[in-house]
Amino acid sequence: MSQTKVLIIDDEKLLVKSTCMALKCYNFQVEGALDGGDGVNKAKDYMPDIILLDIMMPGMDGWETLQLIKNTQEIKEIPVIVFSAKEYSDGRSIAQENGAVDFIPKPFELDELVELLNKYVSN
Amino acid sequence: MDNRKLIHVVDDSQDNRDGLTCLLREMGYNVEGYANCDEALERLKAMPPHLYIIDVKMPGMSGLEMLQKLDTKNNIYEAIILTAYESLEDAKKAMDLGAVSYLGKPIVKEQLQEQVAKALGLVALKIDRLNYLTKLEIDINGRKKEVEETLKILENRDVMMDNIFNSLGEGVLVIDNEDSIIYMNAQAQDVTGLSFSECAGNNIAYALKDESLLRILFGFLEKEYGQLMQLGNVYVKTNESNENEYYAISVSDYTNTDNKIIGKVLNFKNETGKMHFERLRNSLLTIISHELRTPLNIIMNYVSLLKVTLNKTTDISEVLEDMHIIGNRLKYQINNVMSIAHLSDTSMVPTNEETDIIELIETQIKKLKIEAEERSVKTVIRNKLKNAKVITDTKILGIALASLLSNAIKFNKLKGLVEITIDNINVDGDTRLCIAISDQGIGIEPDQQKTLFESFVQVEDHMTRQYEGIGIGLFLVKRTMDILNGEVTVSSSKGGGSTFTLKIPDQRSYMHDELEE
Repeated sequence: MSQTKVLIIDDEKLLVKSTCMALKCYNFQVEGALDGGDGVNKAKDYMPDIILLDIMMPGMDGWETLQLIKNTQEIKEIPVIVFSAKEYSDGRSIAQENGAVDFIPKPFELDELVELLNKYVSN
Repeated sequence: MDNRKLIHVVDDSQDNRDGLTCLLREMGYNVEGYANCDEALERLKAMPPHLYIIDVKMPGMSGLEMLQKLDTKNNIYEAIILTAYESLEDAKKAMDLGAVSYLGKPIVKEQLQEQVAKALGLVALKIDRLNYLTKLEIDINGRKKEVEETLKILENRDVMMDNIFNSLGEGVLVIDNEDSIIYMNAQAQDVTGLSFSECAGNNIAYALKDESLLRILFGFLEKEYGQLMQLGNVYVKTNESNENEYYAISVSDYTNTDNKIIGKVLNFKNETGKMHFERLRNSLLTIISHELRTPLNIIMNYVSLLKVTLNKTTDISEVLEDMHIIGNRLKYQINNVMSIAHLSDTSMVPTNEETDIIELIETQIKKLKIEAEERSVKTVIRNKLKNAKVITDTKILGIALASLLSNAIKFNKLKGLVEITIDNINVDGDTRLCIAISDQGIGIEPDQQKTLFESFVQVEDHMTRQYEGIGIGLFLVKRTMDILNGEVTVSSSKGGGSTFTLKIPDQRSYMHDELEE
């Protein structure tokens, strides 16, 4: 079975780096991008199976990036999980209203994240 | 008391006078006789009669001249003229001058009786009328006094209502159903910038100059109202000191005693303090949610990684290095939260101790070693004082320096320089210690410089990562300077770096002798 390809978009360099390193141990193939624009470009090149997207980013924020992904023909079918350190009363609903498949609050447990990734990729 | 009517007979002829007097007395009148006009007029001053009977032809002042002086139209008494020859011309003149009638000589008793009765009848009417007018006047004066008193009470009540409304501490503006302004208290005048005396009766839409306020008010008037508005409808006013004031506006119906709606009462409540508190609370939540959760997430990632890969291929020293960096950042943010809590304590009294500025700055720089090395930023201290010591609260000044130095390093260009200059400055005759911290970063736009120290708007939402806590730091610096009675200023240009300057009063008015150049 081929490795699942994940793209992480987050402006926090160390979060991208540490999540990449950790997911690799779980046998994922991971790429990172540090802003929304770069994320969309990487997604088109890399064609991940799933995208992890941070909400609070300078410039184009996560919601705008999500819109751009959903409006970009080649990548609009790729499931997106948004994550954020911001407090949301019902992050999952807001995420789904905006076109994401799910939401995971920061800080997350790696096991939780892996479980969620597997859920949407196997589908 | 003599109730008889008084008649003055004025005739130069003794016989005529006596005859007439006699006749009149028989008729029951009180009669006085005068031989000439001057005597009669003299007597008038002391005791005016009800009726004059005056002979026309007399030596000296004539009867007609006297009539003119008597002015019967404007006096109670009347006058009858006696003409010896029944001269119609004299009679006509006499009537024009105010005589009530005339009698020809010789006197016919019945005629006299009739004319006198008729004249006295007129006098009685005049007296009645005068009495009536006098009574009316008294009445009117009484009413006038009453009305004046009522007005005074109303005026007092007006002043009282004004005082009550002014003591409310909230702006009150009342409009009628046509949106015309019918009342404003002092605070409402302050908030709206309108003068009630100038705009009373004007339509509020035309009177109001401030568009944002107008929009809020008309939003209210058209929609359902009565609720205290949400944050979005709060009116933000920039006061003379260029600080924002926040007013929550509510509207209620103005009803009369029959419960009929006759206008609206607009209430302006100053929520500035509450808004500052709200912001502080939101900012703390932001720090806790974002600035603390994200670093924690990184640490957790690495811990998970280490658990899985221990004894495998991962470079553990690199992971530990990252964890150290992120741990430091977490510590910085926790310190920020603690500093906010510390500095928000309004009961806090700063301590006064001798503070070695160089030592304090060096300590803070040491704490920022990792961040400085990460960006290859160098720091240099330029001390222009012989004795760089000040009496102040070391801990509080330390917080300000830590924030400014941290910003100067974080927002410097790679391999940039942070320059710290220590000098004295004279402010209104007082010597103040001046610490200027300059960086070589991208600089701050003039627009942003204005709000830089105002709470921490910058950390909200997606701006957070761009500035990474810059706002929190500067808010803290401003707060420390408020507590130490000092001042913080910024000078910056786009691309030309920024210089933040602290001016701190020396609690012991230390004189720092400047070094000879």
